[in-house]
Amino acid sequence: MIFAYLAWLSPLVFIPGVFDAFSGPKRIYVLLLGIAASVCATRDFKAFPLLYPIALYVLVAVIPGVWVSDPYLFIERLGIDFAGISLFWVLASKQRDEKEVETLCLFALIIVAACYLVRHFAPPVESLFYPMGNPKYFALMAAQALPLGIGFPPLLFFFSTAVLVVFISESKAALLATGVTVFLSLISPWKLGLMKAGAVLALLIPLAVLFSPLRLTGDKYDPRRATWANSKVMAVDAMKYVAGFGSGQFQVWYPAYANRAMRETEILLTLESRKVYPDGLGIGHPHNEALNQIIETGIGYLILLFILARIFFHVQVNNSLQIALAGSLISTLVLSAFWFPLSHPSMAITFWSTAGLLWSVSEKR
Amino acid sequence: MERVRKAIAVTICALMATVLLAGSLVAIERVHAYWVLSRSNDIDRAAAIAPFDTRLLFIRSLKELYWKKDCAKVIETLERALELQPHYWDAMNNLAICYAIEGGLNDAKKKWEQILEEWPFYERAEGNLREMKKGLRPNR
Repeated sequence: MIFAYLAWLSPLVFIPGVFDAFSGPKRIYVLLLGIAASVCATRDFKAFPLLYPIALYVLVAVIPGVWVSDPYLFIERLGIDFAGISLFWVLASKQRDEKEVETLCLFALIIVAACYLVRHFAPPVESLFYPMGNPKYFALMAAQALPLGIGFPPLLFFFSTAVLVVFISESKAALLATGVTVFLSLISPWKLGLMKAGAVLALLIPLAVLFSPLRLTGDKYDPRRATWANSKVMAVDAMKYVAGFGSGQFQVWYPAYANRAMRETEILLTLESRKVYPDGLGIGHPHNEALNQIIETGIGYLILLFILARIFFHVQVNNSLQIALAGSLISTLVLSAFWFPLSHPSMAITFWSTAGLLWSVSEKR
Repeated sequence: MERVRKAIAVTICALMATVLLAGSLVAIERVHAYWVLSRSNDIDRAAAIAPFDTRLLFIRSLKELYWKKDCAKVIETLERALELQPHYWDAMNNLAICYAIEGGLNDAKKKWEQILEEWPFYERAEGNLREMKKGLRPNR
């Protein structure tokens, strides 16, 4: 259980004044935790749930190491995935008491509230506490943590809701994710069936961007739409490699695709609208996990979907704790339609550790 | 079957642990470099600690180009950055400028044309190419 606590402690990890564009100190913490987890996981060889699909995913993710141009970004980004998988294995490997998992859920809610307090009430020295993240990041974290309160008595759940909804509202994606989870978990009496249906929907929602037209016009710039449109073109090329461009390589390749969508559709741009489209640099993620995974891991994303579906369908009992844990995963997956939680160091390991706990509490006793 | 399962599990865990260890070392060096930069503003030292970080390499190249006027060093730094990230347009534009300063006008022209072929809206490259065609050379 110590690994789950350490995973949920990761959002609080930062070094004042150090900002390298994407949570360097958190990344180190997560990678070192992953090393410890991968070593501990080997203590019990009988209990490697989903061994074959995960092994296949790992191999597919490693293959692009042969052709990546920036191996340093590749190794760092791949390490985050592997830290998550190691934590899943070490937490899923043995059956756990529901009481200890409930305590962990309470801990997670307290950590998210603590992060909010540190970020918002720290001394007014912006650069010192900037690495703690922006308010939208905390909204996403709150959306991931809030469903864990469903397993508690209603009074405690509504209290945590009142606290956390204050900063969930910073992000529309977080509000949507929380709303979906609350509906699935509280409104319908047929919780288990709805939860599984909701899980399937949550797995498919990030894929919606692949099938939407995303028309770009020459007179108005929408940065999110433009990034998605260009990334779709990128995803098609990445699939030619089968295993994708390689983890962490989106930001390496995106500048070559920054205006492809416009050129593909032969939009006639006026002189004024040309100035609207900014430089294609500095975009680290397509703001959609499905696009990100397809571009970076190719068919690895299909294997990942299979693994996640197996985790959800492993739940067989209509139990409020299991619904709470599944709700947290569903919330994160809904967020992944608009953000990149599985690529963020601390959100990725809180996701995978929650998945590991869900597997362990839903094991048949 | 159990032996096969054990062998696969050990192999995968060992592979993951190796990647995690390598990733940790890279991440530690990167954070150390940004720590040095934030404390002392010493870009040369920061870039030396993490010579694989393209952003640090680019910042160092700016210092070499505009303060030290050392085009040979700038070319070396930017070519290293472009090995890691071949579509780093600002780095490629500055590399082309250095080629032009050093007299390699054809090399400079090729770099700007390469940028504009993949990214037609980069006004800096467009402007530099236009100036070069007029016969103007960038000043040191």
